[in-house]
Amino acid sequence: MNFLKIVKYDFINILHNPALIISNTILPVVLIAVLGFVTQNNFGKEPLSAYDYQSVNMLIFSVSLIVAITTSNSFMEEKVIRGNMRIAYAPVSKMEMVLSKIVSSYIFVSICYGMLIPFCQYILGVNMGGNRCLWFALLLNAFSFFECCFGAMFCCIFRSEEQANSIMQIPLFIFIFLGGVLVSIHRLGKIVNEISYISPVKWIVRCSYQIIYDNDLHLLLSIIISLAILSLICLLICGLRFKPEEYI
Amino acid sequence: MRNLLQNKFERILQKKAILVLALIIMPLMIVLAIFFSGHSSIKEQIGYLGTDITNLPKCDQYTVVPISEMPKLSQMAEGMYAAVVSKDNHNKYTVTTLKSDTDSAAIETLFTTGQLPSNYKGDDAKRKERGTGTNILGFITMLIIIQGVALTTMYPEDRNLRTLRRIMSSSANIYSYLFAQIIFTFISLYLPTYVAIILAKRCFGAELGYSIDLLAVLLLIITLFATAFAIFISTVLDRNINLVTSGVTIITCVLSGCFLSISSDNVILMTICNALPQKVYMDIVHGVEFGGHFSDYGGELFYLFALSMLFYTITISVVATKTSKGAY
Repeated sequence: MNFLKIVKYDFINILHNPALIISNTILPVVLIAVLGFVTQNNFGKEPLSAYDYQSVNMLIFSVSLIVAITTSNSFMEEKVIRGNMRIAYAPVSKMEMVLSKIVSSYIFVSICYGMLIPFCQYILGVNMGGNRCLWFALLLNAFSFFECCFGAMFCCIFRSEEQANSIMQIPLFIFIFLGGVLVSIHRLGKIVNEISYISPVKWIVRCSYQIIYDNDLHLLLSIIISLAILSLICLLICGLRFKPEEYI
Repeated sequence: MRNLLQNKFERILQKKAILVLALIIMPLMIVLAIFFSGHSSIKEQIGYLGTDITNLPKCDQYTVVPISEMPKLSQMAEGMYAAVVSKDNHNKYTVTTLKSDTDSAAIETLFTTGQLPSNYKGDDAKRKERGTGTNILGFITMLIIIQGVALTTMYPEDRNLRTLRRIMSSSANIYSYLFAQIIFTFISLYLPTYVAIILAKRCFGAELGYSIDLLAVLLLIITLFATAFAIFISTVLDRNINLVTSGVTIITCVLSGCFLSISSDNVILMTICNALPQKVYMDIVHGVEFGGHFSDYGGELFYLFALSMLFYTITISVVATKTSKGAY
């Protein structure tokens, strides 16, 4: 019961932060429009246009970057810290405290991207695989849970929002770069190509393309399971490193 | 004033995150950017689907490789092949590609006549035509603007933790505090970046497109602008400063053609793009790389200068109002 109450307040807290709402709803759409516009001369109309291509890429990009930042903000932002301190006094286990931040931001981004994907497919008319976009949404949802755990893990390790955010962006940018979301890395040589398989973003991108363009779901289950395992590892590190007494 | 500045530099030693960011990550990203821009990447591949693979056409923009089966659309989207060409029974070539119709037609010509149309430029050729230096500085522009705000974090932090109030009740006033912050941001932005670039040139012999002196001036321009922007945004916003800056900077940098040149028939959109400071800066960078002189870009330089001054003016007026209201 306590847990649900904390989740509820954490969730309301996120809703009070306009920057987080904008960057999880409007920003991806603007990114799609801008990048689609910039690259439209490089693409033909058929079988997929610049907007089709960029919308998949940019949704993956914003989940990988912004979701983690959302969690770290909802965890350790200046205004939240005082509240956290009070929870630390209450009879709430420390794991419940960490989990409430993860769950609340996960619910928040699930709602945002759960709406964004159908919005792009059915209202903007971008090709996200028609009704198969639900599978794509499922994949992104699993990925955003991992990102939430990842963001929380960095907060637990570095113990301040600003440090967590600035350091966290480095592995995230490396993942994004190797995932080939921003620039195609296929032609940077064999070594870079082989290294790129360590990036979760690379697998998400490959699986999304397969779902959307080939109606091929064979990677989906194994990726969701691996993401679940990775999330558990992050949670484990959170449990080991999180010390609520540092708030006091 | 000197104490304030000293205070900044001493405190930075306590802040390992910022230190790591300024001295390691930022130079690393720049070296990587230079490395990958100068790195001669493998040419784009065209897959040829057919049996007579003895006499495949050769050209300087694409490599033609024989393949045995049609790649899936997802593999094409990943960029495995720029195009796939197949030949039917009537010796007619069919091109399957995600690229534009111009590219598609050029590739067809390559197969029927054995060479690309003479005035054709693929994506790689267009990038090269833009200039190596312009490509590198485009990326660095984005990094510097984001980084500038990250290096200014001590100012909003002082506000939140009420340190600023204590500083203001001493003999120092808010303006000398801000000035110290400006100098600090500028130095810690400019020096690591410049050193990283020199190292990349000296150690890896990277091709930069500019002489070191010219690059020093070009970097100076964008660093001065980024400092003004950082102070401005840190004053105007109270929270989520990093998040907002990243979003705004990425979008405006893409629209200014920091990564790819953009052109469109839409007049309103192009007017907006041309007014963006990064776009003005990219114009200077591009012009100078191809032999222009700074004196040719007086208007552009003045625009950047005026914009920086505008940022400072707004900052000062916001600070003055907030101080008189006692917000600190």
